[in-house]
Amino acid sequence: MKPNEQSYSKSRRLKNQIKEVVTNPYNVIVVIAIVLLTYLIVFPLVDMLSTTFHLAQRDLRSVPGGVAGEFTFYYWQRLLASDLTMKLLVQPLVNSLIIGAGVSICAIALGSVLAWLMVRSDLPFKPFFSLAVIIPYMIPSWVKSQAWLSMFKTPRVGGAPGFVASIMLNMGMSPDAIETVLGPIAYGEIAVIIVLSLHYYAYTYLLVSAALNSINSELEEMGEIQGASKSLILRRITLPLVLPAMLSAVILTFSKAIGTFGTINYLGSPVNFRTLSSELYSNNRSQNTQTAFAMAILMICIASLSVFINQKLIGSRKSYATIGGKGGRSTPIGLGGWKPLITLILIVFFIVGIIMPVIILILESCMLKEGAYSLENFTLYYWIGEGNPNIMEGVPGIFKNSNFKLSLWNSLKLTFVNGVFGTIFGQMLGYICAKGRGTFHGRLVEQLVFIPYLIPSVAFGGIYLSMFSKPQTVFGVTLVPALYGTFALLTLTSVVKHLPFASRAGTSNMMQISGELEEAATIEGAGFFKRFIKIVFPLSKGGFISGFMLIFVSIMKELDLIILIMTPTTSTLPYLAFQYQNQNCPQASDCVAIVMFSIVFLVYALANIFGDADLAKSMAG
Amino acid sequence: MLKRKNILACLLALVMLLSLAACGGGGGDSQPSGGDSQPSGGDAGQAAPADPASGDLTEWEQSSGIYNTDETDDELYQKALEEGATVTLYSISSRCTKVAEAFMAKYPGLECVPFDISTNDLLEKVTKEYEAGAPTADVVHIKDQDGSMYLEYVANKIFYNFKPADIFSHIDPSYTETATPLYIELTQLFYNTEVYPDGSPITNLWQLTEPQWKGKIMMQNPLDNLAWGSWIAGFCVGEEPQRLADAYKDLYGKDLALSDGCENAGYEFLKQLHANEPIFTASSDEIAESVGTPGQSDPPVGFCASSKLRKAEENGWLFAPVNLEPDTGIPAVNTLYIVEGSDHPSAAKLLVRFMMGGVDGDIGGYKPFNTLGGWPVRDDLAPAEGSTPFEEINVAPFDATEIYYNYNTVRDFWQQLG
Repeated sequence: MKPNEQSYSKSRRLKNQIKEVVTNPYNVIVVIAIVLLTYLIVFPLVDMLSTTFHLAQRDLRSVPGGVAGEFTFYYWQRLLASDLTMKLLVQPLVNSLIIGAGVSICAIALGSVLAWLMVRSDLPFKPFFSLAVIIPYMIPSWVKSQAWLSMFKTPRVGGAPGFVASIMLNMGMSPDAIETVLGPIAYGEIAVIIVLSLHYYAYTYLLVSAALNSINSELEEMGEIQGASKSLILRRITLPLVLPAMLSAVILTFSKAIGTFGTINYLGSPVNFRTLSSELYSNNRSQNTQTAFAMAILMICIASLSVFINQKLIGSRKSYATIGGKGGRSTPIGLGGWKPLITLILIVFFIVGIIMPVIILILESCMLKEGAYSLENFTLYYWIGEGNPNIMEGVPGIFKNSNFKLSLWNSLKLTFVNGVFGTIFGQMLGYICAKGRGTFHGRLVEQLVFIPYLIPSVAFGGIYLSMFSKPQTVFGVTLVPALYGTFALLTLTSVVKHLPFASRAGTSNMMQISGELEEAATIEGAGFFKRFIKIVFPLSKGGFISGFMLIFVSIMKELDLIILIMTPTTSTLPYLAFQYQNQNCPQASDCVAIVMFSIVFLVYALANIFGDADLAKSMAG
Repeated sequence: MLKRKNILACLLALVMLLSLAACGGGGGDSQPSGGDSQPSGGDAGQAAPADPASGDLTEWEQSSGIYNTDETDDELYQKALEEGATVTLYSISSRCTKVAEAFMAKYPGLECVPFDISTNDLLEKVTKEYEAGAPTADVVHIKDQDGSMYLEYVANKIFYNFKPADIFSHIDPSYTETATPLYIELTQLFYNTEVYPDGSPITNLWQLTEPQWKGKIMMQNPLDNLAWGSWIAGFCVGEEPQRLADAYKDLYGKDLALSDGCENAGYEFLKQLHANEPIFTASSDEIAESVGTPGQSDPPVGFCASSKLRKAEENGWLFAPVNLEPDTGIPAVNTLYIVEGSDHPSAAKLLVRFMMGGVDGDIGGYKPFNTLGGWPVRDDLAPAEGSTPFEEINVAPFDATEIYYNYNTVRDFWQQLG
């Protein structure tokens, strides 16, 4: 090459370089992704930001001489530098960070240990455990909060005391003594951290187990041959290789924990424990939209910071490629004498943390009157009742209700279509993030994708509603027709809102696929799309499935986002559950929740069975 | 080499971004006030809603005849059939489904689409749909608790109060000044009747500030939503502070001393209430359950929606509301609005008349709302069996404007308390 270098003209070389950049499908995809993400994510964000700088009509009463819609620092000044700052921002923020850090540590530890046990160890009853392990994520977090309260509720707050408190009462302890002992456990940060960790460890479990699955156990065996101890292998070989997955899980868990509201509302309110997310929701529900948006933007900044730190930690040098060209044999690691003990602990964990809430939920759906545990109170009315005017104001049970069938169909359509679309986009974006690791565009995409995660659903839905209610035109050409009231808008909104799940799963997954495989194919003349379909996609199936599950479950449970976008005639299952709850029919609402849960569980079981089988096959071949 | 490629790729992306931003900027102008979720345009909140007699009517006001209140049900029915035979109702009550069924049974050929949705989502949805020029709701059922429905939505002509004279003649004018009222709910203090069979341990609001009730008062955090925020604001405005000061004197025989930062007896009461560490819950149901569950030895008292009364029997709760001195705070009036730009104004009017109980003696549209804990605004409709007559309950005066202008101050005051 060297002797001939001079014979090329510089301009021709530049031309070829440009041609290479423009025609390279990867670059084209990156550009399309950035343009789309800008349009779908940055615009809404800018919209929110500009809202916080414009005086709302409803705040004219607090700003003498103000004009509605004029530029103002009122909201930010009020939030960041006023008498209220301490109560409105600082204290809640500190609480949020405590919750975020606490939940991340507990959930990551729990999820990783479980993932390692399920994937790499010789634990018995694995098929059962690996199905059960994901259930907590499918149970709505308010059910878990209620389960927590029915265990630890103290007499001070009235009502029926919790299980533990009633035992203590029977033992003759005074209510004051019980309060001292149980109070800190029943409500406040400890309760919130435990309940949320039991909910969000699923992120870690799904991501880390997908990563572990792809590790060739030869790597560990090599260590063993060299005489490394089990813990050394774990620390020096296994752990570094699943680090991207774990860090992805940290980001998801941390952001979700600081953004969550339901559990904190349930378990924090009674002791006036408020976080930034409680303030956000309170302000939003009090129609203080601007303040709520400003808080959401602060939360987005915190999350961006965590993504940034993650990018620094992962760096651009280290390699996490575990999916190489060689066979992916996986030999389980013996637990030795610990086996019975670990198995026992897991069984207890599953019974208490997983099976109990489910059983309580099922029991409650079969009780004529709430809270009365007796045989004559048992009924299947809420499931299959024909419409008795004395129960539920004459509304028939859910399986006899045409509304239910419609909602079921809508929910299925929504979750499957969005799950598939969302996962495909997520994997593509993950591919960009992973291959573009350390580059500007890779980091940009990674940051952009994350933003919708923390925009409150109501705000996000509202912005999309106004963006897409009219045709979007550029220079007189209609790019996007008016989408309001269409299924397309529902899909678009849900896919974008849930992109972070899929793309996180995609990123950690794609990082493990060795670049050599693609390079080999390139030498053989395979184009980008062929490589993606024939190599990248089959190898990333595990991550694909975990991404799909994460998206599928969240969309199945989504209410606020969808209720704004849908028309009164497109009802979904969460909406039906909300309606029943509103009609003072928690039992029927429980029935709907059980149906939702069963669907998710079924899909997960199928994905697990077929996904694993396929994965194993493709790895062996 | 690779590096340069990347730079080029970035440049390319940047160009695309810029052009997109430019297009976006152009497109953005055509959108009405972007993310401003508050109704914009129109005059400031102070402006009173247009008087039908004065000024020019907008196109829609003219075509819909929104100020025409003389039409009979039959005339409206005929017009409704002609204009599309459908009407959409957004409601904060699940009972809207029953209303819709009854409406369709009474007026065959008309379709009524009910949509049960929470206050916050309802406002967001209606506002966005309206701004985007795609109004979907014809009739809205909500509560005007902080006066914003009147001073923002009605004043800016997004919502209209339809005022049928024949029905309004049966309603106390103080309720119809700023709204088309449907029924009244209250926030009442409940006590456990099993432990206190001889009546409530508390009869005066100020008793809640006494040490023996520390940590034994259940309520929702007023910061959490508009309803509770308006309720605490109600104590600090109009004649209410004076009534509170008088009640204090009645109870303790001495004048109330205001602490620093408390402008009037209302703020003082809130401060002392907060200092007594009320327990906040996530839902009204939880409060009813905490107070009313049988078998307790030292149950709390709690403020919750009067509508929980109708759940008492079903759940076996043993509780009763207190008729507090000086009063139980402001009432929550359920109100009805017709949305500007509605393509089905006649059907909307007919539905509003139907829900308000009509004039032909058929109250099928009002019936679903006539339950324990809700009181009709019409003097010719009887409340549900077993209800305490509304005149006998001490209720604070409700002035939408006063509440609206003091809402933020009171909310900030409460936030400051911690």
